[in-house]
Amino acid sequence: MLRQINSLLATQNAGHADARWEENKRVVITYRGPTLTDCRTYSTTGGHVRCFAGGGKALSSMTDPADLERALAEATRAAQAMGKLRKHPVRRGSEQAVVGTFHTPTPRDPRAVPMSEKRELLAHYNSLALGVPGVITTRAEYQEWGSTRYFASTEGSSVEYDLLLVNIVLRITARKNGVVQDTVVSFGGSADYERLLDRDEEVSERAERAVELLSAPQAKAGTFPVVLDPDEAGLFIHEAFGHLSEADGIQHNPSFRGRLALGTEIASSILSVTDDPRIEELPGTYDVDDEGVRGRRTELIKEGKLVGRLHSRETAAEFGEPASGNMRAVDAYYTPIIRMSNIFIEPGESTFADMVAAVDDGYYLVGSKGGQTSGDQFTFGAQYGRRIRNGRLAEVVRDINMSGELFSTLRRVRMVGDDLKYSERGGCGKGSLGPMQLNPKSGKGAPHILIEQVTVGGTR
Amino acid sequence: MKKILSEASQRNLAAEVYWCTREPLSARFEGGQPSAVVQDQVDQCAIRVIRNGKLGMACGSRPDKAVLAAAEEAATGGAEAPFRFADEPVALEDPGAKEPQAVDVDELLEVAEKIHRLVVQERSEIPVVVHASRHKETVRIATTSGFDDQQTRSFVLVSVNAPFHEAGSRVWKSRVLDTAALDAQDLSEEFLAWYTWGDAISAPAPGRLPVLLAPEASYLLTMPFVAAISGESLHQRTSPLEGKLDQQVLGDEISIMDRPNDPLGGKFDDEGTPCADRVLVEQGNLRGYLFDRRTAALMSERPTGNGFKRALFGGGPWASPNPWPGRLSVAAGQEDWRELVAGIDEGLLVYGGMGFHSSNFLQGNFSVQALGYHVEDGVVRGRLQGVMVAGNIYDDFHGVRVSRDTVRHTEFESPYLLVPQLQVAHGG
Repeated sequence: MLRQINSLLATQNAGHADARWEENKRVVITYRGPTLTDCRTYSTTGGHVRCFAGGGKALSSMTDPADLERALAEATRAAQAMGKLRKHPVRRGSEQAVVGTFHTPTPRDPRAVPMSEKRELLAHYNSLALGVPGVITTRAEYQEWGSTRYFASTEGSSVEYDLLLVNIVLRITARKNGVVQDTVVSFGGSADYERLLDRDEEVSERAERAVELLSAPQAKAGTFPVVLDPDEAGLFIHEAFGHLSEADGIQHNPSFRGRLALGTEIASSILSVTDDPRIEELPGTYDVDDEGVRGRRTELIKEGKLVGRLHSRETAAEFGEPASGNMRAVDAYYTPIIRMSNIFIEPGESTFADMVAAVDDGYYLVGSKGGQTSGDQFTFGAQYGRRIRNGRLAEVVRDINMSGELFSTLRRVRMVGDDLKYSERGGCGKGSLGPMQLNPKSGKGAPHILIEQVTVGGTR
Repeated sequence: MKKILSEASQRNLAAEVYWCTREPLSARFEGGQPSAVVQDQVDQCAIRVIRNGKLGMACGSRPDKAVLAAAEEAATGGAEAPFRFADEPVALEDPGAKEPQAVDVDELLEVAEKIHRLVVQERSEIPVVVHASRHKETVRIATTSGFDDQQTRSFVLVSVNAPFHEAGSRVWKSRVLDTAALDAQDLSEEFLAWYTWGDAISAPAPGRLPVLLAPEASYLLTMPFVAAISGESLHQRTSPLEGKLDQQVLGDEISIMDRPNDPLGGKFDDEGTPCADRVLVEQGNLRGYLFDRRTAALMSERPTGNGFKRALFGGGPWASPNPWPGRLSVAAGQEDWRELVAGIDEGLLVYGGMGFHSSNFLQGNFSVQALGYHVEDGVVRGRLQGVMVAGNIYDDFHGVRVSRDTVRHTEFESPYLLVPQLQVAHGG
């Protein structure tokens, strides 16, 4: 396939172009309650062309490899037409061409595991959860996500690489007297099938937690100090800060860009944040991004100061900052956009016990439950919480969501733990230049942290 | 497709082939100039087979023998299939067959540029983003039991948005059109009015306050409701609306319909079941549930034409059908929405909420960070920052005042809804 793409690009005589071809294989197995409801495999192909010509930029996706030539010709014409309307040509930072093959190491390749074995493993965990008294139903899903990609550019890049990820996710629902609560347990997050084995304890614990939440009080609305567990703290840094470190989010927002200039004291001096796609066996691990740039470690906040940003070649040129290798697409039907790889809070010096002891009236929040951001506003949920009173953990609480404003919240990070832990399951949804791209290859990590004040939403 | 179905029949399989062809075209204008043009031509297919009572599904780019074989393999030890694939032709005109006329990249760029120009003529400092797109999607479904039909959904969508000054959080306005004809002046004026309300930051005192939900925020009502009337949650016995047919579940000011036969909808669902307009809530009384073929069979009901490959996250041609509305429509009321604003002494006007998916919404709960404005003495005072709004649709959506103005989007249509009291919290 690379030969075909390179031959086509050799004929390109206007501006620059690149092309990506993908062969994707996925498996989804789903149980709802005791019943197997979905057994689905994917075997899809497709391509994506980007053309930078005449000062403009045009993008095109296609299904049939025979359409590559047509798509490139049409994209070239569209880019040239658009370029005539631009005040400044689209620029891209120079990057060394990458040539090579990059394959994900797979201690035990999930693609080689028989379908029946995957089903049985999922059925086992599902039965464990359903066996806990009070649990009324589950949604258990096995997700295998594999993509082999071929990328070449008129600038000399020619790369074959693959992406592979396997997860098990169980949503466990308990009900009593009209109250329904659910919890989620998920594991995997790498290319190693072995990671899915021997997780009975976590499944049982989370199922029992769902039942416990039925009799827990709802969180009280107001502003409180909160201690976040590593999974929740990872979600916090992903939502509250990570999306704003993606340069395309602020590229065309001059006033906001000024507040996020490199060198700005943006956070508490004990907070340091890094994005790194080269940490092995995490959800957001990769070698090369989808515009042919090698993935690399990027320090984003160092001791409270903004020191780096995530870029495409285009935003790197516009900001006058180094490219970071963070342009990624979910599949061939989407153009690459800037995405975090594995974003994490660097470990600090405090202990979890220190943090709880420092709170008179607040919450301990456990387990991420999704979040969302819009500029400087963010919100995220927890699977459950514990009230903290007078420096001690108290009762379990349910239905807990938080929100805040980026800049003030980053400055209110009062303690950072010494217990950095990466979450096994990541994922992120982002829409830019088109529909929402739900990318499972996005990781996060953090130690426990204490934030002096966030807004907790609740109906009480 | 006929060859694939013939192959399936020879292998003694019941089969359903879903084939979607999309040709989206879009232009984006930002930073004072066009930033990208996208023109795709892509195919996605999914084949479901039933073999020995077991269901398997495989997805590919186009239907071929390899996808069929993968579906057959997935059916080996696969899920129980208590239903049959569609077999009756749908005797309806395709409501979405009218293609937007003569829309090309140049026209989309022209529309985007015009709206951009109108906005910056008034306020040159606004970093406005305009996105103009032509959507065209043709779906063909054929089964071994004789169903074979296709429908096209096409429209033009023009949206304008911008981040507030030094904030990054955005306000947006959009229009969905059957043709490329757009009143750019009207859209830019509406956008400018909403943007200008956000020049200042303002917040009410925390507590239980009236909240006016703009049509774009009506999903805080409709999504928990959809989750609860889904045949899936009824079958799983997690729905708070189980057994409540013909009972009052929402305020009597609220009526909700499914209107799939709108030109933005279709005549059959993603399983080939005919769609029809249906009342779901009539003056607060629950009148219907949503069933796809599988959940209908499990619940001994008839499929309601609501087997769609849609979800809060992750739907699309490669997803499995599940119960979902064709096109939800909240009935309009009598009042002008501006008068509803004018009648608020202290409250909120909300056009969006962040973090909805983190809420326990199946039970009717939502707890979101509100995107919107503080209203005081009937006047919009400024945009909200760090304000959370929480409620429960079954407890709080009574005595709702409903506007006569509705906004039409691709998946829904809704008026403004003034909820008497929701819990509002913020950090000050």
